[in-house]
Amino acid sequence: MKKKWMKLVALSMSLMMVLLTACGSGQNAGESTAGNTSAESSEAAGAETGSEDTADANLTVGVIIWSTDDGLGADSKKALDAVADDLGINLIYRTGSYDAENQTTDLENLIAAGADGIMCCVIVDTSTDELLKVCEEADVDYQVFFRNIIDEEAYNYCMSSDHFAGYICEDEGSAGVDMVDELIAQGCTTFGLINREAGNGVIDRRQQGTMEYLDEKGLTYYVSTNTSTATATEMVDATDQLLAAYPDIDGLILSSGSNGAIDAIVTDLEGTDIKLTSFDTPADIEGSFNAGNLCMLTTGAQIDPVYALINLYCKMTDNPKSETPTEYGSNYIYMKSAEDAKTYEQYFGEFNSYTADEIKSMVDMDLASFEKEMANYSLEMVVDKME
Amino acid sequence: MTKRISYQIKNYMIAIAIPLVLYVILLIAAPKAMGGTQIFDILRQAMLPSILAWGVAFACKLGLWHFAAGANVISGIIIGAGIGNRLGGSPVVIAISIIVTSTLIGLACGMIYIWIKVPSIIATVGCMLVLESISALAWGGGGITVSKDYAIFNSVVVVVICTLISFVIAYFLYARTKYGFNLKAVSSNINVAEQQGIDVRKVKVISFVLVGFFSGIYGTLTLARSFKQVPVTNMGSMDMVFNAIMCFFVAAAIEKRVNLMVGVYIGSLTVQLIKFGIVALGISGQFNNAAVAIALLIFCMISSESEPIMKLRAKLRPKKDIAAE
Amino acid sequence: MKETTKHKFITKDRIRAYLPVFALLFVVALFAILTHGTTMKINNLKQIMLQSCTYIVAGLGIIFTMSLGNMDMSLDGIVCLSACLSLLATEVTGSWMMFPVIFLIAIACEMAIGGINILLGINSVIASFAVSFFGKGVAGFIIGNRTKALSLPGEFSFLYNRTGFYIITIMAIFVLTVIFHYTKLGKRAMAIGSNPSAAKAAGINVTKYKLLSYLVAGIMMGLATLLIVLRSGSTSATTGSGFHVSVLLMMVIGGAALTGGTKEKIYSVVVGVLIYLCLENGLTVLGTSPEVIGLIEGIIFLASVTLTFDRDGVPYIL
Repeated sequence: MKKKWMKLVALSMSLMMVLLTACGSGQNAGESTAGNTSAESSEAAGAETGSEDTADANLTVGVIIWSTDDGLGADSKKALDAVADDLGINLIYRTGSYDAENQTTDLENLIAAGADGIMCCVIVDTSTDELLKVCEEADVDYQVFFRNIIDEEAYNYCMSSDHFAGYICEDEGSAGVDMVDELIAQGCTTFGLINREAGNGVIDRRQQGTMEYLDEKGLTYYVSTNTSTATATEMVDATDQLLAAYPDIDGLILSSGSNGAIDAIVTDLEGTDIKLTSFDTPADIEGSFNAGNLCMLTTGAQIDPVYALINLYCKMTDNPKSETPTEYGSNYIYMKSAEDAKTYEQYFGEFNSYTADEIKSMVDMDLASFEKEMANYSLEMVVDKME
Repeated sequence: MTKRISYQIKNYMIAIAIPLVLYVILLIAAPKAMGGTQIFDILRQAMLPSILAWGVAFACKLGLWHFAAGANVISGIIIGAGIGNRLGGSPVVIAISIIVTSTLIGLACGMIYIWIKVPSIIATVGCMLVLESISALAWGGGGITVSKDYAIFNSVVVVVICTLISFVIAYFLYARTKYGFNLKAVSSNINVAEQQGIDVRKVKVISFVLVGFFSGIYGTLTLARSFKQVPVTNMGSMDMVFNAIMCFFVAAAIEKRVNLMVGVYIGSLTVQLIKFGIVALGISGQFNNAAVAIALLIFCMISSESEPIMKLRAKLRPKKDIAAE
Repeated sequence: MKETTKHKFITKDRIRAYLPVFALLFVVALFAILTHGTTMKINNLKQIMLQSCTYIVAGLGIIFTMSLGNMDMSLDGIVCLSACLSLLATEVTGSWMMFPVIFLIAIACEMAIGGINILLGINSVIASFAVSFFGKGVAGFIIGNRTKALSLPGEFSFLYNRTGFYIITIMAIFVLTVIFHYTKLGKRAMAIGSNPSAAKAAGINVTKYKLLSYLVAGIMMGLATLLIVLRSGSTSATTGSGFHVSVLLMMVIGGAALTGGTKEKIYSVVVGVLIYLCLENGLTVLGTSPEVIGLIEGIIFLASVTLTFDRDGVPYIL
């Protein structure tokens, strides 16, 4: 009897925890960037789906992203929170979905939460139009970031929709090509690719672009494929095994190392002649370049969701950049030396790329000026601004 | 005495037969890859996973599933290293902090399992969800980093010493302490063990504590590879546990020949050889886990005492007896 | 000494059986209040029902293997492999091939698990992990080597509509309820789960009924995969990611008997799925961060399993 009561008490406490957490979550920093209380955010959620209040403080944008814990995910969240704060809008994040079905569920839940616009980093390219259809049904605007649309059918559908704000994407393939060229410039002739298993659109494109270019140039390369959940230790051991299996390898390209794999591999290669390029940044970027093996980092993509949010905001406030959905390209930042690394670490730790005024001015820019501004994005641009 | 030694040698040879066969196959199929000191690298690569597997072996021997071991490692690193950083940040302090935190987390998982009285597979899945979320929320989210001074725990000497110490502790606990005997008794027949006065709940909780302890050592060494640990969510930590469980089942298959803890290292070595073989033979890395899973099935068949397998063994045995006559 | 029970109506079994239903009502009411009625809007409820279809159908199949006392951790691999191969077959041969291939692959995977478990005596969790890894490996290899994504042919997109999904799900619930509770197969499966030795001694062909249970699970997994493919319109190497743990969580929250046996109930699948999805929906509407949602789900999961797990007659729980 006593045990039964204890268990009932435990259940009640769990449910109380749900209640308190749910009430407290409305005040969580990062989500309620406009500082709304949970009552107000509930009211905003209770407002008609798709309606746009004249007061910007009530606008809510749902963000569907793979994670806000890894390197790029965390940097993207920092940037988005800063920009949302400047524009006075609320963000609700949904993470952890790695297939189309779960992303559809996330989208439906965000719409139910009263999102007036959706930003989505689509995992499966061919589901882009399926997700858009859900938004159309709810009369909500939809923006894709970190992605373009490869599938022709999905592309045609999205580009002819009134609710599609557009997409923005880095040229992953070109970045891979530039990394191969950098390794060739460093004297490498045989390449090792530290890849991830298929399933993540961005990583798949990087890997594909790199391999196509290597095939085109007739260069020898070997591939080590790691699971999406591989730890840094597993990936560095896999790298060692690849180098042991093919001792001719003198250049490595890491497609995704934000779990600490880039740090581990940099440490592991110290003292060898093997050159390394990577898509993710280590914790100590300057030190990694000084160690001698790292010769190029491709990073800075956290600006992509910033431009996406501005573009979506313009559409949501009846001030779209274009009458038709926009197709933007976003720049990567390349780092090729300890100097570049020092500069990057100095200015990119927090989101310093644009001030609040600059963000607001970008909202008012016309399409051509906005595209010019995006094309300007570089390490030098941010440094000039900060100095 | 000589007979005994030769019997021991025979047992060890049988125990290492499978990794030895894999090694020979690789030597023949990919001689360039397996040349020189590569085998020493593989022996070293097998060390870290075997540390975690020694811990998980205590739980698996009891028939428990511990799907929270990976989350135990990650949360132990993030919380422990975070505390260590705030206590000065010296490598030794961080290492001790990780080990203590992981052990306490293991104890908490054990207590939850005992208290809620549900199958371990369910209790540990629940603990895994909670631990993954806690590690994602700890210190404001984003994981932790440690300074480059921590590299001391990545040196070969330190890794080998830590592995040897972990092995000695695991071996000693399993083969030479009362706890080890109680563990074996409970795993053999839980009813009889309880009737003999063994506190089964205590044995189970201690096994969880040991998982936490060895997770802490594993976490200490693995952090030194990358100097940072990011949180893992969405049940991503289960893969780590699968590797450890694989090592246990290999050990269980050869337990009649060698001590379980020695068998765990042989299991870890087998997994590394399989993974290296896939790379060396140019097979797509997508099949890594599939190959390990098939190997797991084979080892489970060898160690299984189920009716169909016993019948198969009985069919094979009479031929041997007749041949002997 | 005569035992007197004060409240015969309220028994441990009844509380255990109906607690999930009360929990569902509680969760719905709680979030209705906290969100000022947002979660009770008809569109939101329709979305939750639509989301629940795939999980309910999968759960209905898995409850058969669960009633045998076997855990199935292979659902993600089965969904990934059958979705991938079915859309590939459609692309290569002709549009209609998708349907038989989805079911064939799902049935083959489940029967493989059943075969490994029954004929080789290997633990079902290990067997299901093996099949899952194998399935994901093959699917990942096929998809990884393609430049063009695998997507649902346009002529089948009409099949994705709410009414169709609801009808399929309700029919599945009805048919499986009848099979599970009123036919020999269901009753034998529960008997085997309760006590395999006694079932064998009673003359039940244990192997036959175990394999039939896996066959039913395979058919339902095929149907669940079909619904997933229709809903998402395509497949990738990560299709079905985390599906196995989600379904397990939902069934446990709904009070499914984890050790199998005669206390297994079909409605625990439906109730559990709805509780989980209402919880996730409500917390998202409230703007809760994903990490906190995960923490709450873990705590609720542990709490619900503590209260609903039937410990009677199970002296030692592993």
